[in-house]
Amino acid sequence: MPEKQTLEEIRERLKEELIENLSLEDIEPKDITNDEIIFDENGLGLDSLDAVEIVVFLQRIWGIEIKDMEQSREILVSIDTMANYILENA
Amino acid sequence: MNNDKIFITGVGIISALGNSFAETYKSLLTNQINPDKINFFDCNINKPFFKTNLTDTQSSSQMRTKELADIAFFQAIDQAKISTYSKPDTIHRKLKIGICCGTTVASQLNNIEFYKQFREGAIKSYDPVKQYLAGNISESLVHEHNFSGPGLNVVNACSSGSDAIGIGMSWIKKGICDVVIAGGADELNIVPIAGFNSLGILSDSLCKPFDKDRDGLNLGEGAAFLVLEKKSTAKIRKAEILAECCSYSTAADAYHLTTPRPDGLGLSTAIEKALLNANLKKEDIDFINAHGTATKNNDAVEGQLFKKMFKSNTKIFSTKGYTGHTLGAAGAIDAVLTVLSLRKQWIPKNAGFTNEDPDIGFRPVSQPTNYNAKYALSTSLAFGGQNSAIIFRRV
Repeated sequence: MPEKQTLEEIRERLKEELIENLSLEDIEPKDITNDEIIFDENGLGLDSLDAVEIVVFLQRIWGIEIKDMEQSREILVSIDTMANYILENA
Repeated sequence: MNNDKIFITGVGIISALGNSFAETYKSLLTNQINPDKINFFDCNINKPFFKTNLTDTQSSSQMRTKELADIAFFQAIDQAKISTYSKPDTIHRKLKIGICCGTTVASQLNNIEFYKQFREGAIKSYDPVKQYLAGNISESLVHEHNFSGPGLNVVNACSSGSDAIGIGMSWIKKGICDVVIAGGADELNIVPIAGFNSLGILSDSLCKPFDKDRDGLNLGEGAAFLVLEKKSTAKIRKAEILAECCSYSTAADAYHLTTPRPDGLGLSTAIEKALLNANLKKEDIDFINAHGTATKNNDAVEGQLFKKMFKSNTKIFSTKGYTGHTLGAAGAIDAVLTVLSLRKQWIPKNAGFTNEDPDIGFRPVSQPTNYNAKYALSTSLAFGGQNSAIIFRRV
């Protein structure tokens, strides 16, 4: 697990991991805003299988365990909701 | 021609990999292999089994197989935006919806208690009869959801799940149904466990599909369903298209009760007919989700045929190292995992494989692999010499 990161560092790492793990083409970290709803069609347009991949890399990188889909719905909303959860729980 | 195409708009799955499509994907991503012992009936056969985390309800009239089927069925119709019975005015009232379910245990083996009581000379209660009636999974589901189409159980040994999908496709093509929810379900049950044990093909360890040292299969339980329909009906409900179900075919070996024909003629016939029906060439197939049970005979016949028939870079994989052999559910579980693989353009590693078998001459996918695939083939081989093949397309 990395050393204690700042909120800004977590946000940046999250954006990089999203792009790499979900093979998001033609998107750079700067294209993703912190409050963008990632599963919205007008946002990144991710689906439930992408959510699974996010859950897996959150656990791998920050040791965050999300037990069920209900919990993931509250956490996997935007970069900010994920980063804040990581900051508090990692 | 485009109007004749059949698409998948919902999938549901429960197996040792988890209770949903998402849980299944997570388990595969994190390489979860969770064999267990049987604890819901007395079983002194100490082999690894792949069971779901469904607790035993000990219900006298509800079969475990039906409970598994219900879980996968609800996921599939929910994803496809098909309303349930509680909303009678919704669009599905206007659609002719049929259900076709493969199984082995539910239909033929669910009356053990009845047989026992009969042999003892007295039928003590009507519970076994109730269970017999509930054992008709498709009929129960049709009634419970008030669907207007046919309900059919396919009991064709280990190809039942694939055959149910093929029959479901034919109902849509012939105009018998607008939508078919097709799949399979089977529980871990003492009768097939004892039967496979007697045949000497249960491995003492985790099964090793396509490995040189494979020594038998592990039994598992589970259920999976796919919602099949044309684009026109999917559009009405704004259901998302997950993949195309291009074609199905089946052919029998007529060779032996439990052994597949060594030259694989039945299997190759089924595959060639499926390719022909989909207007494809064998070079178009990028991925094969094999039956791959890890018995000496099955994997030799399948492996040698695939090596001979398909291009050398075709990716080959068996689910059995993760789910065990789920018998009547296997073809449907394989179908759902094939859809998952096409959607994510990713194949998990073939669990259990270490050493290439020189008699087969290829290595299945031995590491998680990203790939670029359009068409995938799923094969099922059954006792009695039945061979079935389904072709899927990425959308």
